[in-house]
Amino acid sequence: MIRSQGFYIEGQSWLYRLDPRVRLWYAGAVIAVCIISARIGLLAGALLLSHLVLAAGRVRLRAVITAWKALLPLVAVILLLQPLFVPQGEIVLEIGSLHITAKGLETGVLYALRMAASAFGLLVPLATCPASRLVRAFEQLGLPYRLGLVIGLALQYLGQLGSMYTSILEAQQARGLRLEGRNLMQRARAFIPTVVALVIAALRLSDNLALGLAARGFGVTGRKRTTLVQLVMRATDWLAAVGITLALAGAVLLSLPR
Amino acid sequence: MPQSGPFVEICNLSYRYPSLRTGSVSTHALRDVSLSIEPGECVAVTGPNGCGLTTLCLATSGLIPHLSEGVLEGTIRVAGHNVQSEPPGALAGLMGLVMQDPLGQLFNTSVEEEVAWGLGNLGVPRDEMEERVGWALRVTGLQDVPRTQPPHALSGGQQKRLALAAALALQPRLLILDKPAGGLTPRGHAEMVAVLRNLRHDGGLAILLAENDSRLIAEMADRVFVLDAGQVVSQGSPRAVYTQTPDLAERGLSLPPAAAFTKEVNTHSDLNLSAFTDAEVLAQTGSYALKPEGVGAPQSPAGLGTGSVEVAVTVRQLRFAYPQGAPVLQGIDLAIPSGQLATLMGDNGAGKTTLARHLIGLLRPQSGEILLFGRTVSGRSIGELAREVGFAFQNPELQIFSPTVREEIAFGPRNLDMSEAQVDQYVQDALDSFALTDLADLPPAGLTFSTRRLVALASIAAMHTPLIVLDEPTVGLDETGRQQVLTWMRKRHAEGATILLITHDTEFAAACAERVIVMQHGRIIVDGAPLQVFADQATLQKAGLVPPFALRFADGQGRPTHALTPEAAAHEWLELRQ
Repeated sequence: MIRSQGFYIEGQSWLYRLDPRVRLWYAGAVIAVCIISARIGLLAGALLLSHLVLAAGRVRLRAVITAWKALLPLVAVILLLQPLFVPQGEIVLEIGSLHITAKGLETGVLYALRMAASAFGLLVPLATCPASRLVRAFEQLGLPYRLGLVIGLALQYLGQLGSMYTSILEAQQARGLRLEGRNLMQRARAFIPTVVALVIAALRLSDNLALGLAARGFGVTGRKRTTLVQLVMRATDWLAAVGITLALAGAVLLSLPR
Repeated sequence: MPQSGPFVEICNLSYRYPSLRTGSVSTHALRDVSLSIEPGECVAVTGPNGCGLTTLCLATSGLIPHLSEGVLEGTIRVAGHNVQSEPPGALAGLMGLVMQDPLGQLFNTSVEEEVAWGLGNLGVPRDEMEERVGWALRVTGLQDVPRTQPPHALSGGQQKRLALAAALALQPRLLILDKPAGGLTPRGHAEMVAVLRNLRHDGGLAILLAENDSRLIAEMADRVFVLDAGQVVSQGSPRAVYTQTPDLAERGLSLPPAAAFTKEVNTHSDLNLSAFTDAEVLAQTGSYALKPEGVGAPQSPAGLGTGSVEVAVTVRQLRFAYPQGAPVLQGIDLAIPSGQLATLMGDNGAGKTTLARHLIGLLRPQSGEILLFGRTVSGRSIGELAREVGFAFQNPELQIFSPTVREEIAFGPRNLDMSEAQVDQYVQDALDSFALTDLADLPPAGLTFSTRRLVALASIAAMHTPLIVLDEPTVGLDETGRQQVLTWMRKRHAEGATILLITHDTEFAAACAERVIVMQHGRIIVDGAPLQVFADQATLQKAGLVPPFALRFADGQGRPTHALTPEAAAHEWLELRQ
């Protein structure tokens, strides 16, 4: 059976009870810091903060491990390649004609931290908020419903495609497809039956989804959309939002050139 | 808009999908279909795979041709609205559609939001929305499911009922159901029938029911239209259509079990019964006295004991639980002798699929042991186990990827390193078994749901493994498809293959199984010969199953039976009649 809710992991804590808009605001603030700031310490602090928030919010460790598993190859590529593109500064390592400089290494660490901190900032709302609540939050923040729904469905079905991929891979293996004990090229080729079947299944799913949405009146004009869930900011939500705003202001000040 | 004429009026409806091949014109999916439905009436459309049932549902709901290319002719009017002139979804408050595959319809993250989503599109105020969500969940029997539960965490039957609740919450006057019975357990089937009956009688709901299951049609429909190649070839009351259409089997249709009994009795005697339902069969046969000696108690057929026969599957004390989940398998002990055709039955969530997934190595025992033909599965890869086990998944059509049907079927045997001559022979055998030879050079992805299912089953058949595990292979198939699966299973069984069939369909199991194993809550609660197991009505009921017709009939007459199928029950009753 295909079972996935995208990035969302069920749980109960103060973080799950926080208004989804505040959690989105947190992600936005972290990403803003990552864009504005070039201070490694600040970015490392933002990355650490997201881990602390996730831990204090009792988000299952599985979410963090899965995110790191997905991120690590990208982080490794950035750390390895970025120094090669920055030849300026003091050379710390020479490999043939390649010069690795201190500035290059620093830039690699900076970019890797930017990416990781942004991703974990985003994980806070994604892991703790069902896609439909995020759509509601976007809508109440003034985003057109269609756009919010597209974002919500994309988040949810990304996870579902992952589950579908696993199901199809299992089905192909059950038909004798072998992935183990081959060279890299053969292994890559062995994934073709799974990837092609996944694309076909995804296209069919999107067709069915379009029918399912239309059959229940999506896109009907002339009526104002209503919702079962109305998000209401409580005092604690405002407090958290103010705290995030102050932290963002502090981070911006720290990031200004001296 | 003022309404004159029938509530639903479909006139000379024809439709052609865009062609799969450039430059050619596709054949008609529907041709000159005309039918009408009145409020409170249930009209069923049925026919062989690919006859146009889904197309008719989508056209009636106004989704095609708006959301698909293709050419539509004729008119569809619902409550005076010309459906084709309205944008898709504009009549969502008037018509509700429940599609065959719930996956595309359940896209919200909680049960209550799923039901409320369509109401939001129609601008229903929040207070009324709350009421309607509660009502829809109540009438579909989902009131006890936590409202915050994600739809994907529900069982298959509950998902179908949730899709129904989401459609009913819109309070439509016409409900369009595309094969709602597929994959439902007998318990789920009975619950759905009860819900729909109430809505029809109390709320005047009109229903267009596209279905291959003759039992559901017999229980629900006032009139039936039989389609073949997109055309109406027969119509009338279910009783008239099923008892008077001479070429029913050729049209991919089966008689409801009670009607099959009646037909067999009338064919082999000078009686002229007219019974169409279980109750009518009991009433009409009740006036005949039976020989006092009866048939005697059922005996266990040979071959159930393992004796010295080679054991194909040995499961010892198998336990399994998903992470953060309740135990799914709680100490399974099972031995299936080589060459046996066994069925595994039980309610949704009983653990049947989880047990089967262990046999091909997709899940590994957390404790306990599994042996296939005397060798442990531990340490052997899925690809290696595939040489011994052919496993057809619940959604086998998902695995399709090849450019042609022939290539798709050849994928498995080629992976098993068979010679090309052997591959060709097994592929041709599989094409013949499932009547796919004419489609061999077509792309399988463009075929209908049921044909893709047959292609996927044929791809397992071509692997020619000594052990075959089939997980709900007949869901979505018409009678012709069911018979093809049955014939192929019997052929492989006669050749000595061991078959483990997972099904909810007791009639199908009764027609082929040598042994029935029933699971509940991760345990085997009864295991034996079909006659013994199906006679244990209390245990079956606990597991959400109903006995096949033949045993219900004998039970109704208060006597033992040796019969498992309606036809065998007819012969037995004729022999017993004084």
